[in-house]
Amino acid sequence: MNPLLPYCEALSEDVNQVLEQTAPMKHPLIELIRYSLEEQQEALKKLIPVLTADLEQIPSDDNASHQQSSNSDQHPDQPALSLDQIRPYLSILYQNNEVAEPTMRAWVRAVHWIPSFETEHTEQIRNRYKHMREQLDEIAVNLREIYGQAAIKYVVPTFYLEVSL
Amino acid sequence: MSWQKERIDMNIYSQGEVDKWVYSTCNICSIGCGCHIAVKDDKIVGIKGNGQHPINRGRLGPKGENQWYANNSSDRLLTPLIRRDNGQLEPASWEEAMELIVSKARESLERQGSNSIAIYSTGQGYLEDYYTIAKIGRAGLHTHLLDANTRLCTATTEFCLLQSFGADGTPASFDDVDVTDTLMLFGHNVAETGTVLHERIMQRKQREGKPYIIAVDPRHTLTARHADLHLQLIPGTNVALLNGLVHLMIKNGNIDRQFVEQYTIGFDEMQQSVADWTPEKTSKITGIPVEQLHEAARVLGETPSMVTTTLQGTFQSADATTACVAINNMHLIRGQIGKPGCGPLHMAGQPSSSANRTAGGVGTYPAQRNPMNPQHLQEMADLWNVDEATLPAGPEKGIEEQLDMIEQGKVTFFWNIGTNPMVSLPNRRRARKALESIFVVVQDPFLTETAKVADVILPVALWGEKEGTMENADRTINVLRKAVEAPQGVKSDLQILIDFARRMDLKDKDGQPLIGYSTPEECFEEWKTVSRGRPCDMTGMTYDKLEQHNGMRWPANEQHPTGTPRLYSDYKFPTDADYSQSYTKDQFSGRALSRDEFVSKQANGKAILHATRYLPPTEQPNEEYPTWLTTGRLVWHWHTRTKTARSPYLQMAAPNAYVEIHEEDAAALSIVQGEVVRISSPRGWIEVPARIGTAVQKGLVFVPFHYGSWEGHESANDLTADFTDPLSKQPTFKQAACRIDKLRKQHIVVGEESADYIAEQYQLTVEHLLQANRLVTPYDIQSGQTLEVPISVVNAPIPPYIPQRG
Ligand code: SF4
Repeated sequence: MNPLLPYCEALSEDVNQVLEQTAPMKHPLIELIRYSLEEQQEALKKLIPVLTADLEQIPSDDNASHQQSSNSDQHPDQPALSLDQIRPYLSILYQNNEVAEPTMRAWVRAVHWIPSFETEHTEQIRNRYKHMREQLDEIAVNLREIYGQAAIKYVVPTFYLEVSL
Repeated sequence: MSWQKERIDMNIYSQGEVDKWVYSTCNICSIGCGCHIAVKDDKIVGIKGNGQHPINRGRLGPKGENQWYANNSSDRLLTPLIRRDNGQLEPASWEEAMELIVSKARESLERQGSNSIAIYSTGQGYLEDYYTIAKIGRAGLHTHLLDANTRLCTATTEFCLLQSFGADGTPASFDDVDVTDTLMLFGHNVAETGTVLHERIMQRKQREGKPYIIAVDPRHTLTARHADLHLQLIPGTNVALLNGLVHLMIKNGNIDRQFVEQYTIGFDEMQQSVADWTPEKTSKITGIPVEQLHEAARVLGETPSMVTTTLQGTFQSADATTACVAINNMHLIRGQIGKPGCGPLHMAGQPSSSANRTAGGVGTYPAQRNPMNPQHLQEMADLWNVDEATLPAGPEKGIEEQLDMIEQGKVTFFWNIGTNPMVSLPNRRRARKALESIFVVVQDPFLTETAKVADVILPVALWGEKEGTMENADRTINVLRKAVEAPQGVKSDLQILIDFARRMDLKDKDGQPLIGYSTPEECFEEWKTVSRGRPCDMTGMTYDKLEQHNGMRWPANEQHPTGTPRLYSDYKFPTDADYSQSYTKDQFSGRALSRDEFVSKQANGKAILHATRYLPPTEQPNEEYPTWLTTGRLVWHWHTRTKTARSPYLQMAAPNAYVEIHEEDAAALSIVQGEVVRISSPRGWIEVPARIGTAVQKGLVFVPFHYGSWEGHESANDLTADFTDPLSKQPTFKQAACRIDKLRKQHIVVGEESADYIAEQYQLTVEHLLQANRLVTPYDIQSGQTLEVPISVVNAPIPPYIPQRG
């Protein structure tokens, strides 16, 4: 199994749940959050089958040639997938989380300030985002192990992969 | 040039002749007026306008003329301060303060990694400071958390330009304002924020009757009063208005089809996004009558030339970047860009906020390099002689996201340079709580409100006490010479940064000090090599040339030795993926697009038209808070008044905050002129006198944001909401919900008490007493009646500013 798969599946579950919970809500920030979630949902719909189809094996020469990094720091259970095959989806997942996470926190504040807004799912949605972040952190760690820091530098934002001096 | 003749404005306080006049530039707003500083006995004693400088030809506004008082203020900080175990800030040596900062920075890096350090700087410093911050921050500390108060002021300018044109740099300049037929001032109260530019506009208007001025503002400001057409829209509806106008322009056939086809992409998608913005729908949402919409669209659609300026009414509103992009769209579909008298001129607020964007102290990498482009980071790594792998990549984080990170325990070291966030940030009490929880360094000439959260304060040199360059709103780089030595015990921002780098032992790949320069001019020379070949190329500039030419607009290089007054006159836009400053963001959500997504747009040198989807403001009047709140500036003060409150003249002109209330709203609440009322929002409350009039529309109140003492209960940012624009991450200060509450006592009328007698007891006029109780004559007061008495009525006149002095 591709090591990214369980995290992406968990992420997908969170995305779907938040989309379901926010469906009846009318709020400008919810419009933004849902827009991002829908993009993430689309990306995951395409990414998960690709990961599912992936076998645990050393990549073919063909695949390896797509990679940007040196292979010296690659994961021992290197999947067959090249980073290029999953890069567009990962980019959408991470960059949407970068904008949606602060928007979600802003929405929680907004709900708190204007109590007439829907408050029912606030805590659940906040927890979902926390969980989503954990999955994205795990995916980042795995990506680094598999493809190397240099290859994923422009896919995974720096905030998911601390660089120390 | 619009100025027909020079007029040297001067403000000196000196016994006898001054010793010398030193070349400089006004350090208050983004107009960038040239000036000379008067020096006597090694002290700054005044200022006069530079008659040769094309921006102002000697003129200065009230803030410019009075900025130098701060230099001689008796409360200048003259020694570092450290917060001791007793919780008090106490004097310390530079050695002790710097070593403490270095040890805390190291601790933060070791414990939590490079992104645990945030540097939050300013728009009041010099380009050399910003470039050094960029180099230390990115190549030295490897943090991606570089932000500045420019986030509150010009972030939207940057991101709207990246979206439409691929790089920062406002296309039109003040020269275009001088020759344009139509000037749209969109959320730009130029009469009060850039007084000299306003005078320049109005002088031509008086002479030639041009330009036709359209002001877009929910308030009837001084600017709006001088306009030919004032579109007084409902707060938070900028995009709705622009969509309606573009809709009409397309419908009326006011499109330069050839320009659109040859030089732009994205027309169909853009057109579709405005398709249902009929005048009726637009009018319903914006509150602007249909006839006015038609008239505005006719003028904008038929004018042979047009400049549109924007400022905080656009940048600090809902949909900020989308509104500015809609303005860019409008210019592009009319082909009104890159030609004399044409183009968007998205302004800046502070005197050098543009320089911070350009130099990479905030936002993207230096010289408009794309933080998502590996080639650009490799270029920076080569220029700085560091390993590319250590330079952080990806989109930036704004101050509000940094506060989130502090709350989550991810940021533990916050370096605050030349800004007073405890007055200027929205929902400031939340910000205070966050900053109190971590180590905070404050670099400032004065003990500001932000001192409350400081662990170390470093006293710094002010304007006139250091050398450097600034970039104004129209890409002009001006040089500022050092007039006097800084007071004993005070260092410049640049000296502190260089000292920090040395103490941190920041090195390049060859083990050489990362910061190899030691003077501002040496820094500028290094910066020039970084700018080479980029849109902001400054290789043709030197300090001396900047003085000789009285400023030069970038790019200034071999091809443009004296600078470039107008961008895109060849209609080639920096949207090639390898060159562009950004791969752009999703115009609705703000998600950063990948290189592949950007390449697939196939802009390749064409400007990009975007769909402009309207999203209403996050917070709107509601049952509990039924009134719109907006905030803004006064002509007499700048930002948090750190400098302007130290000028006796400016402070006297506007010593306190107030709330502007429409006369019908005041009448409905029986509030009297000057009555102290409480304004509450979900974040907090203030108590300020009411100024009743018609400047604000009904249902809206305005509070100036300059006042923020912790004791005073007059800070607008105790009320504002900390929501941000999805693209520029600029806070939406201009729209929040609030409530007006009267602060009244009760008085039961006893026996024969007269209106005069009662009013006198409470130091009121009879008129106020009657008004407060909705009574018409003194005879309406009856024994036993319960009267309401305002707890305080304050005479708070703000003197009117007369901009045109001939
Ligand atoms: S307009 Fe701005 S730059 Fe000019 S004098 Fe006034 S504050 Fe200074």
